[in-house]
Amino acid sequence: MQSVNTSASSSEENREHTEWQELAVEVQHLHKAYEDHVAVDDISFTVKKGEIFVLVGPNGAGKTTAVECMEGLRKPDRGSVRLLGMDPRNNREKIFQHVGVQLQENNLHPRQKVYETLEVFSSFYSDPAPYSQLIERCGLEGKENDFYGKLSGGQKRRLLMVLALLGRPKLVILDEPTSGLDPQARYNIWKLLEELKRQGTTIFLTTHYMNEAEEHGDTLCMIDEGRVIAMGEPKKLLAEHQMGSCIKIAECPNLDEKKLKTFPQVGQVEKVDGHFLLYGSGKDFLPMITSKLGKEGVTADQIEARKANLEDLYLLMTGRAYRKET
Amino acid sequence: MVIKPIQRMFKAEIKLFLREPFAMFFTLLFPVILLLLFGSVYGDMPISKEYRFIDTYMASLFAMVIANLGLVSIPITLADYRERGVLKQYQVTPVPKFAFLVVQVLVQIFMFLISAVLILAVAELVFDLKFGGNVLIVSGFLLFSMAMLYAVGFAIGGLASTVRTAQTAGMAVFFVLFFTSGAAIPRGEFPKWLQVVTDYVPLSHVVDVTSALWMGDAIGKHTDSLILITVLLVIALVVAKWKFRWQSS
Repeated sequence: MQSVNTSASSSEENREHTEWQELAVEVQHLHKAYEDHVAVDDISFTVKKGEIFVLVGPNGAGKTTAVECMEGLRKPDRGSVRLLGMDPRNNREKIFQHVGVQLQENNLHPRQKVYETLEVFSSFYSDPAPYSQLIERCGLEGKENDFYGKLSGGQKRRLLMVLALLGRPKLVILDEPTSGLDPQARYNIWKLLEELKRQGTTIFLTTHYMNEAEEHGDTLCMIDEGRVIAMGEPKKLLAEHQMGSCIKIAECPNLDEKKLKTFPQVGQVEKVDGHFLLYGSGKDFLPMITSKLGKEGVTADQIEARKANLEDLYLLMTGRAYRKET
Repeated sequence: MVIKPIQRMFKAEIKLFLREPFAMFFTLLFPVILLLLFGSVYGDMPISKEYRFIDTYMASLFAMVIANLGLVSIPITLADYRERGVLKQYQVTPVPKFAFLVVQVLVQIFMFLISAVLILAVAELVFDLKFGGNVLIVSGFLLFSMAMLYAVGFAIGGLASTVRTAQTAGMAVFFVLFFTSGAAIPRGEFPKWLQVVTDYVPLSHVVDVTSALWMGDAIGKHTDSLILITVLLVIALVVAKWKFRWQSS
């Protein structure tokens, strides 16, 4: 949008200029409704340059809509998006020289060979990376002459990763980059992403694998029903919710959620499929709870303790029921 | 900056075209079969003092190939690329949006050229052609007809919601035009009333004017056809622009 008032527009430019020096992505009050439902309801977040930012949420939470608004593929009803300081809907050709995108679906021509696709997409960038290296890093060497349609699901996913990295991007936006990949491929893709991060690339991605988010994410943003429900560094988020350890207790007549909540250092209590899940943190949380439970007649074999993880937090916050997908 | 992507996409699209048996059949094989068949049956039939049927039949075959590329190949490609999300994939790269459209048009022009060379070569070898027109004027008129039919193709591709509807609509329009324009059966064989009705079929004008130009007619004598084609071209372009989508739904 151009301002008539020149002094206002120049100060606006200055503000944007200084901000995008640290911010790779700036999403403000994003709102997107479809005919029958609101997909994204006032989402705001920022991605700092050089970090790995992970967007998580149940299917139908609005992740892909938010991501497609970021990519300029969808027009938000309200709010704004800035990628590297620019509006993706107005500066497509300029932005995508520096922003690599992996869409959620694998969208290429089945009768095109891998190398043909790469030749075409390489020609779009002013300084393309040699694709042979990327092919190797993504475990696709020897597949250059195969038809795209003959690749396995995981291979297709990795080829789309190669396409996202072809232009030596400063920022990548990856929608479920590791879905459908086997553990070896996941390991290697993450190794590649961590390496890109060390070289200064900003990485924005969505995933359903909470262990990945916990291990690699610098910032986690959890959305549900089109809203942000938690955001921050994964370890800090767990600490904030007192989720250090998880104790699983078989159901017993002496116990109920209310009583368990009165125990010291307990953060959250959940009743799931015939047992209680007790989350808490603190130096002597485990021995203290074990002895408390012993007094209630719970024997040691009815107690299972482990470290709490992001998946616990995720399920606690988003619930365990299937989502209606629209 | 945009030259390289266009070159690479063009090369890749030609390869894809060659891997499409359906398009290959209608572009290369079908016209040659028609040529040999109709040429053997009617080839020597005199049309005027100097020309035989085979000479004017070139116009019918050219019109058929152009109509097939424009009305069938373009809508299917457009709908297919949209449905598969290939266009969406292009949208998240820096390639200018018009590059894809330019390449599609270039590919269809190129395939017509290949087809025309093949048709002419076979016809010359087997039947010995006589050409009395101006190569530039005939080529110019064919290019103009291509512009109109390709634009109609983009309009159909935009109106169709899926590949299946694009295919059905494209084929339907193609076959109706093919049979009513004299591209399949010469309109001279039609009963009088049908000749009058089919005078209004746009492809009839492509066939009639091309064959008249082939035999040395002046283009100035066909301003009515030129006006009709121009009007259709403009309407098709407006619809194509209005209905064009990069993503399905």
